[in-house]
Amino acid sequence: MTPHTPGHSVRATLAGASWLCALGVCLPEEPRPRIARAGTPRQKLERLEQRIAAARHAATPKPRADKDKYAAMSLAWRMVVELVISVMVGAAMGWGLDSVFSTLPLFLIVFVLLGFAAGVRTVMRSAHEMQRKQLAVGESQGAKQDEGA
Amino acid sequence: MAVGADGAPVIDPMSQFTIKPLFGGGAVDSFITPTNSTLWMLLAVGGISLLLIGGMRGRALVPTRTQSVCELLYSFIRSMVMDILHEDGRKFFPYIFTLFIFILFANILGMIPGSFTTTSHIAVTGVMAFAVFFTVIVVGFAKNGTGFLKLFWVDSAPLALRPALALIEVISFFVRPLSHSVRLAGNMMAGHAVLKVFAGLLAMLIFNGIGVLAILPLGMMVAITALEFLVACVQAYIFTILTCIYLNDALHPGH
Repeated sequence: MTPHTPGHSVRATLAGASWLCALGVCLPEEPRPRIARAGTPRQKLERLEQRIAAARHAATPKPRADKDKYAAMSLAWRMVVELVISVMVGAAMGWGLDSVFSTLPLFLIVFVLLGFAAGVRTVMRSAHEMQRKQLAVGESQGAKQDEGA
Repeated sequence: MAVGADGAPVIDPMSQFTIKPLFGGGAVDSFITPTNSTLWMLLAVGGISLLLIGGMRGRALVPTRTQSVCELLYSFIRSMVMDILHEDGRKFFPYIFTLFIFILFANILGMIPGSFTTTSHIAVTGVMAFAVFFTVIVVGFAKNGTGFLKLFWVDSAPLALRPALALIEVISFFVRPLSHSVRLAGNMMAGHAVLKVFAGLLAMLIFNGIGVLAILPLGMMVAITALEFLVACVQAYIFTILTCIYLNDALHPGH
């Protein structure tokens, strides 16, 4: 084994381990008598994990404003599609019932209206979902800030 | 690029979505005829196999570049599935990951100039969306029995209104697979058609001898190409996250 400074070896382990930790893989304990001089392997490992956590915290990019903009745009697009499609589904159902009972305008009109109501319901549900998700994100961010403080 | 009778370029944005048989020309006369759509779907499957099987070959503890790409894809979808479905997500993870990676690869392969975007066809996205729809129905009934029908019966409403609301709920239940498939196909189709329109404009400007102005549509094409790469990834993500949400509704129809 070639002699090298402990600092170098820790840094080398850090470079490999930050990948593993990002992937949720646990770091295996390597018995290294030379490093154990500065503490037991477990203590070394804990210190290493603290350093990794600090490095990851520093490297995490802040949420960008234009990402939110894109998310809002895709939500709006989703709602538009849902509204239009539900009116169309209602119309198709009404048309189908009409052609079975040969009462052409009756069910078509009723089901287009019902389809519109269903569309509004779906859009409301999507908005509710998004709100819940944002609240959850806000809470977890708040919790993180509390931890940091 | 389509060319008119006098040699002038013609804007024909929809011709890129035509399904052609791979061998022998003519019309697509049966559903087993291999077409350009079949070819690009197979290429997507081949690309996925190459990345995931080839990349994970080493199974190294410290991953190589390819292996870490595979692992990041895997853990990204896994954490999303577990966040929404919790412990139930374990069983559905292979299915959801398959959906995500296939749509992602089909979308990205569609960005290669001259390729065919399979996900721009509602026939393709519709099959995937209806597969999710039937999975939701089967899982819902298998897990909850007739209790699954509570999804359509709004307990909080007055009794007189409930049948009408049930009808509305049924319609909105059928809206999901349709909006699911229309959204993906529409996004892919619209972006690619817009790219073709700008390309046609560029060719027309050059043909008419005002090539200096062609820098404007060229800039737009660069910007839209970047946007399309974003859309390709985001749409694959949205398709999978909505699949998770629908499955969650089937497993817990109470709320």
